[in-house]
Amino acid sequence: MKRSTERILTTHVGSLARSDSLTPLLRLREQAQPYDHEELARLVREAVTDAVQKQIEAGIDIVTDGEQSKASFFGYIIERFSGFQRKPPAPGKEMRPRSAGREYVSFPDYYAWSERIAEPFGGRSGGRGHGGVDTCTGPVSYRGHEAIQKDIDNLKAAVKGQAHEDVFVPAIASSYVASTFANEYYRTHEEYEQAISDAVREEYKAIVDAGFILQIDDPRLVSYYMMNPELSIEECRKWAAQRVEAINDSIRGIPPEKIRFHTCYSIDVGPRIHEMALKDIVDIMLKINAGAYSFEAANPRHEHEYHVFERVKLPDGKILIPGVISHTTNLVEHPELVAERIARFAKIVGRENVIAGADCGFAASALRFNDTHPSVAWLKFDALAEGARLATAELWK
Amino acid sequence: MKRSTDRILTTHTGSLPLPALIRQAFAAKRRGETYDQVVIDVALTTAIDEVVRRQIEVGVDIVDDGELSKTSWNDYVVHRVSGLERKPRSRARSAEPWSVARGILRPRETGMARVDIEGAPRHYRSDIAEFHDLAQSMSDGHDNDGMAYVCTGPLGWRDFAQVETDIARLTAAVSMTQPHDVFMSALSPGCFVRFFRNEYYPNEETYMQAVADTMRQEYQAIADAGFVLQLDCPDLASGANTDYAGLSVKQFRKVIERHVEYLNYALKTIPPEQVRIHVCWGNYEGPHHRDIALRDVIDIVLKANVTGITIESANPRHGHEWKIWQELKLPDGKILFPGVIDDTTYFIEHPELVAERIVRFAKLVGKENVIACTDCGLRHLPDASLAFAKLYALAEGARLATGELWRG
Repeated sequence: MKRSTERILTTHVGSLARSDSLTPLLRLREQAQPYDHEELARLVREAVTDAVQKQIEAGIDIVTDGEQSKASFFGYIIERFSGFQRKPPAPGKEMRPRSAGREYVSFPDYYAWSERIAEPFGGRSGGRGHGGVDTCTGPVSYRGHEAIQKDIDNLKAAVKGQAHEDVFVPAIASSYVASTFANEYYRTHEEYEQAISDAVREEYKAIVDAGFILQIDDPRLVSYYMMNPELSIEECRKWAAQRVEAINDSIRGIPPEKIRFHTCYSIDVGPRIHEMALKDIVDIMLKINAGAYSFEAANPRHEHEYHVFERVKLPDGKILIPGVISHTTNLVEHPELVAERIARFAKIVGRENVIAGADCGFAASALRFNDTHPSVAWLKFDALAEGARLATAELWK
Repeated sequence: MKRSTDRILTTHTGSLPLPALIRQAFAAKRRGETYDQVVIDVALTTAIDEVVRRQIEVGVDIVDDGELSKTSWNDYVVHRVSGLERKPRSRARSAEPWSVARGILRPRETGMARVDIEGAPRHYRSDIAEFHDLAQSMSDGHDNDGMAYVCTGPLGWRDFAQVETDIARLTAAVSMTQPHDVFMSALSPGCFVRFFRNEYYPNEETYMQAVADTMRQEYQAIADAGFVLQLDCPDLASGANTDYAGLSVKQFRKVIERHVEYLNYALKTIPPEQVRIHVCWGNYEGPHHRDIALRDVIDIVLKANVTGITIESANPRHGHEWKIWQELKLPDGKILFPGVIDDTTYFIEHPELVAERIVRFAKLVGKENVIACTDCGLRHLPDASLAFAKLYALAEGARLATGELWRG
């Protein structure tokens, strides 16, 4: 994994908007309806080439495929893993799980409005829930070898001959899948999680074997607190510590410098006053055997949390990838503000231990409403790169 | 004007969410439909008492009436001033911002109908206009359904009683609750000429003069009531990427220098310590990457003969501009009201972030010269609970900042 040895490097979280031609095909596949496989493969290939090109032009150093082949950051599970089935939700579980969370209970009118205004643009859940919920009904195993190989080939072809520092590929954490999709097959949660870890590990290995950086996505690690109003911080910490063990099991044998970990809060824009503070989870997150950690730091609810690292020492060799641009607002961050945010972290943990990132993906789902317009995301990448240049000038002078 | 002598005081820039009944009546009024003024009047009296009480409850020190009686911060004058006439704009317009239709901006509950039109003109806001694919067949950013008010006759007051009613309602509301201080906002002369084109006066100078002479009567009445007068002056910043987008920075500075001259003229009988101005770049969640930099206008802003200056400082496009006070001295006696709450996002700012923002300014210009404020109005928030949660975060942040700034 490259680090900011001579200048501040830039990256982002992964997802980028899918084109108007690609989205309908991704939707058909997501809904298990017939679609033109060759056409989808061609559109994805073109989209990856385009996404990589644009990232490099914008000044992103550590690039990715923009998750162009996936319906969402976790929505590919049912395609690539056996043992899952889409079923009608269990009685009493018809609502999206977040609806019972602290935020929704505190601001029911806001969230009802927020869902309503997103409806014409694909809604906030991207139609999830209409076709049922993904449920584990049999032994879990990985069957996505061909799909991940296609992703790898597309990305390799796209970056070939292009100036870049590194390439990363996001993949879902076993802990996220196990705590999001209902289990009707395994006797215990631990067995269920173990089975997913063993399966997802195959995807991880394929990514690392291809020479790419593996990014493990687990929003649930920090959003579990918001979603479970009955649990205390201490109980959520205990829960999270167990999830970290599962994640570590899923990456056993893979060198930490090949892995970066991303977490976030599962809600884009909203009041978000009930989120687990970084100070309450940072020690547990840092136990994940990864080389770098990506987290939200650019929005009004988490921007002050860089102070956490004044008290918590970043272990030697580790890298922070704080969000310095936000996926939740169409205002384009001023490069001087981006530089200020980078410098704050660099002055605490060391400039060589900071890579400038984003809070979360700009299109975490291809099928739902995302808060930032696609065109604006590219302006934000420009601002990110310019901010990193300004920060570099300040930090290396 | 009260200042932060022993703690950081809090305020906001004026507008707060409308109660549903009033919002619906305004929407009807805007569409030219019939509405019941008596219902509005009765509702307003209660609503203003309530809005003052809630501001105090959440910890706002310098309160107002939430602008609840006004259809908007600028077009309220068309219901009060004579000489303005509603005419079709020269080019086709549509009612809903293009950006809403494309999902770039979340629609605001303005009660406006969507109208799609062909061959729409370039968008009013230059940052948004840049997205050609999106601006196509969409609105130009104006809110008036293809119509605009234009000055076609001598300016004067046709219903000054509305100003007096506003003052009476707020006076009554604050007499019960006794806030730390009270303000009331009004449209600045510069914004008046920016929004209402002149077709009557022989030249721009005489028009500006007439505007200043008319509007100063409202300013005087607000000051005479003992309130702090806030003049809304987005012309000094947001004008640069809208009405004056074609001008160079140098030319734009000339325009706003003149606006400030007439502002000072209109304020000549009012003590500066009773006046604050509000400067912003437009209250909308667009890219804003074409906003003029504060450093390009601040010297002119400081020429306004007023004590208080509220400036957007919390959002991601202007969050870095506190740094200009490292090189620039705030003139003696002035008070800076930096925005520490961003009204374009539905996040509730973390109080520790609010405190950090306040402290940054306080360390540069002196804690007694800083009052914590919002970037702009809060009316458009979809849910009143959000607006007051933000104001509560503002007050919490001010308490934390006070703790840090006044210790030892």
